[in-house]
Amino acid sequence: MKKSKVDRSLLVMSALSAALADDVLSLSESELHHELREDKIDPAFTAAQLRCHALEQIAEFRRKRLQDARLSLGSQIDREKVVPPETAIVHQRICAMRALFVAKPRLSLAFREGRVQSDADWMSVWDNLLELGLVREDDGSID
Amino acid sequence: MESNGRYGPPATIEAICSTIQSLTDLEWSRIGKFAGEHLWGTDFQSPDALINETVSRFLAGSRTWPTGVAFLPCFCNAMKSIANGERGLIRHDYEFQVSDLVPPDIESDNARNDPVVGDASKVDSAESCVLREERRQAAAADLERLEDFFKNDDEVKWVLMGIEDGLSAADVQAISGMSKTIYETARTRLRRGRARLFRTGGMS
Repeated sequence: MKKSKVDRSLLVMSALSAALADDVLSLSESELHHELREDKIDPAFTAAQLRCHALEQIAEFRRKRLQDARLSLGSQIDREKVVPPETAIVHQRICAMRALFVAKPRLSLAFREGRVQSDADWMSVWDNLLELGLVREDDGSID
Repeated sequence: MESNGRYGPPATIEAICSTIQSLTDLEWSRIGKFAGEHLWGTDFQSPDALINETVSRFLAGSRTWPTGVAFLPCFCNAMKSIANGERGLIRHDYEFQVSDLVPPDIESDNARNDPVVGDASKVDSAESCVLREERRQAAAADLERLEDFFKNDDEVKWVLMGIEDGLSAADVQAISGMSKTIYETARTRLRRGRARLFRTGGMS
């Protein structure tokens, strides 16, 4: 099919864009300075605008990358997290750990209030033992 | 875009970021001017918009910078490619070869699509056909305006003809009898005149 006049226009205008843009790349620094002066364009001002937008994009990209990394790390931790054991089992396990307290005299267990402890108290002790590395997360599983 | 190994391994995104951060004022001005020249026929409203699009593609990794080449030409080449893509690659749509009319061999992986029915994935919507037609008409009007602007400048007309026919500078000089300096001055006149006419070469 023969190219119409309008097709020719499109091709010529596109070719012009490419050819004349390439000419910009081959301008020497002094020629470029000269043209900018002629066009009353301040290179510092123009550069500041273009640079500012590019740097905003880079900052946004880095923020997003950091967020993604955090999310990815979070989901990894979530996957590895073991469901906390039931309070009754925790209570049972801690009571059975007398030998541990005997073997480690510097380790002691005391409650502030009375002899009766709440579920939250036992779970708090369990968390402390976990942090100290004296029990493992899966130690709470039912035998 | 995959980097050709010939030009070195692709730079990391961080290397691209720090190179962008370290561009000088004059380099930014050149990039802005280059982008301005490529605005014609695209939906980008300013050089800034084309530059931003290019930066975002580099950051997304859909464009790479082979470390064996200088950053600025690589960045400009990416801008050029994006602008060309924006113009819609219209030239392929209405042309097909006689060999395309051979009945398609459905058993072959190389089977051609029926040029009359076309490739289903490439069927254009009515909207895109209208848009393309508008762009064609706009191009015709713009070229007419440009030719009218330079109607009394024979040297620029030679340059225009050379670009249209894909001739080298030497060929145009040989045909027209222009010296290298006259040719280059005419070409600059064409670029500067076009930029003023369509406000493409300038920067905001």
